[in-house]
Amino acid sequence: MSPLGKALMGLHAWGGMIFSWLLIPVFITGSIAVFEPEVSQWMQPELTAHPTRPSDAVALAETHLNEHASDQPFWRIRLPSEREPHIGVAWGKNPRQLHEATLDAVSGEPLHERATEGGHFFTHFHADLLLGAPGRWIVGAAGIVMLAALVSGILIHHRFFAEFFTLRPHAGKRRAWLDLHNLSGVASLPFLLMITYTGCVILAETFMPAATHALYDGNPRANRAEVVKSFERKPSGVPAGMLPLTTHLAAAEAILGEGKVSSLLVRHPGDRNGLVQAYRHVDDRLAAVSDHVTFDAANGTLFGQQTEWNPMTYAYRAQVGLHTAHFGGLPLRWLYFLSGLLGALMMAAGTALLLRKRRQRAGEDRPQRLLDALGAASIPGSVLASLAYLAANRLIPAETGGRETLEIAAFFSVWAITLIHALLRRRRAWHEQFVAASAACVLLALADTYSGGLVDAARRGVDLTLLATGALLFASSRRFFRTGDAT
Amino acid sequence: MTRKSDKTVRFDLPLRLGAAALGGYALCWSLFVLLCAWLPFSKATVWYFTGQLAPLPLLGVLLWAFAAHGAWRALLWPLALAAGLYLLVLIR
Repeated sequence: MSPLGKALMGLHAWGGMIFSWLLIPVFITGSIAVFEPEVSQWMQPELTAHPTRPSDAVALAETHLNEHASDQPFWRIRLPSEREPHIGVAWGKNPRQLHEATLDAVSGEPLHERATEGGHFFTHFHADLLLGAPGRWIVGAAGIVMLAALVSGILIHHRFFAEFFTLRPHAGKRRAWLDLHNLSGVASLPFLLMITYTGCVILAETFMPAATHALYDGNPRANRAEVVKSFERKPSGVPAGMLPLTTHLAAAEAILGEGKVSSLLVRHPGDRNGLVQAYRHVDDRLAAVSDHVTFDAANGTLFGQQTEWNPMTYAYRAQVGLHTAHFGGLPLRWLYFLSGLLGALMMAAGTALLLRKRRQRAGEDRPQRLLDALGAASIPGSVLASLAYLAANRLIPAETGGRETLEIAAFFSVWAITLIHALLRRRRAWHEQFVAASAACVLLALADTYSGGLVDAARRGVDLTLLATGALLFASSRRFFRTGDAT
Repeated sequence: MTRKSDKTVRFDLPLRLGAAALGGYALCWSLFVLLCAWLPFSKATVWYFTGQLAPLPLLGVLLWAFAAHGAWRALLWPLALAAGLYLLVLIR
């Protein structure tokens, strides 16, 4: 090993393991978050999926909003897309806190879907552990340690590989863990460097506000206001008829591209100063920026548009786009999903390797038992917690008040239980939790398939993924976690 | 083992952790303030430029904190560098 690699071995192994307790759940939830709309569709069987034309959807949405929200100053319409094949309407007085409803894309009838955070919970947990700004500091710190673990891993791996095979070819189980750690790490290395770096860039907006303080007196929204043009005006108080929203949609498509409008925002409908703003999809470009165009609601004249961006903003938003993977379609989403899980596997194998090394030196002392338990809770435990969230979605009746909070409570309760279980059952816990997670995957998939999951493409995809995950978890439980011979 | 080396060993890890966290944060902060003061571009351009660099000083100092010979050296170099960069801003 190079002297630098040797010096960084402690940081790599211990820093990597301690932060892996957080990073593994963050990678697992992040991988699931790639399929956020599909998971939401799975968690809301009430949602329908019918193909429709954008103009028909906008007409249905306008009818609904005229009936239910004609006196509201803000309307928002999310057009149906391939991944979210229903209409989202929202209205209210504060554009940041709108009352939302989902409509069938063909009939325009409200769908009354069950209350749930859906797939967004995984995105939310992945980004800030549901803790807001403090969570972004914590995940940001973990991301920086992850980057350091990757760089030091490259330095350690560089000569380690050759020395290892020449000097110690006999270390059976330890070598299996090391091979798995190296294999999964090397295979996913470019992805891991990219995803961790871009993730830290996104979080740095919160944890490193130096430039915000130096340039904008610490006001975090000011930089956005400088690059995203806003076209607004005060209501006049004079009522005026509005052109049909389908007319505005056609005008917007002429500028943004046919079928490229993702949502409409109406400011002050029915007022002479009303405006209709159309936003473009971000799913066909690397940079996560949404071109937008605004029309006078009453006569349809162009009020303002933004289709060009500050090049540095575009580059920054390209890093955001690289992280969130809205571009590139289904093949890229699968690549991200699998690479993210491969990253989690790399960390899990590294943790198992370090736990084994320490046990050989220190035996089953108290710290070892705690480290083992934390490892189990973060690896099979966070998988079980995620499955508990999905199971709670099916077990809590659809009408129950506050059910979205109960689903999240199920995630954290089961996660806590896996830690207690691991403390009590010691090394046997790994095997038991892997088997339990495998069984939960299969049960969830079968239960959904036999309760109508086959009719919907998104739900079928989630069910098949659950089945495959269940099989993989079972195989790993047999291969690596036989009772009494955990790590 | 002498008392002194005991002490050195005992404070080695906390000093290096402090170097990684405080040193990294201070260096990144002063580097950004310097770039904001010196770069001749629009505010938004500078903001979105520094945003993309943020992980680099933190990563560099974290690696330095554990690779440096001697824990005090690990801590003092990034802090001195951060102070130096900040002085450059003040001079201007």
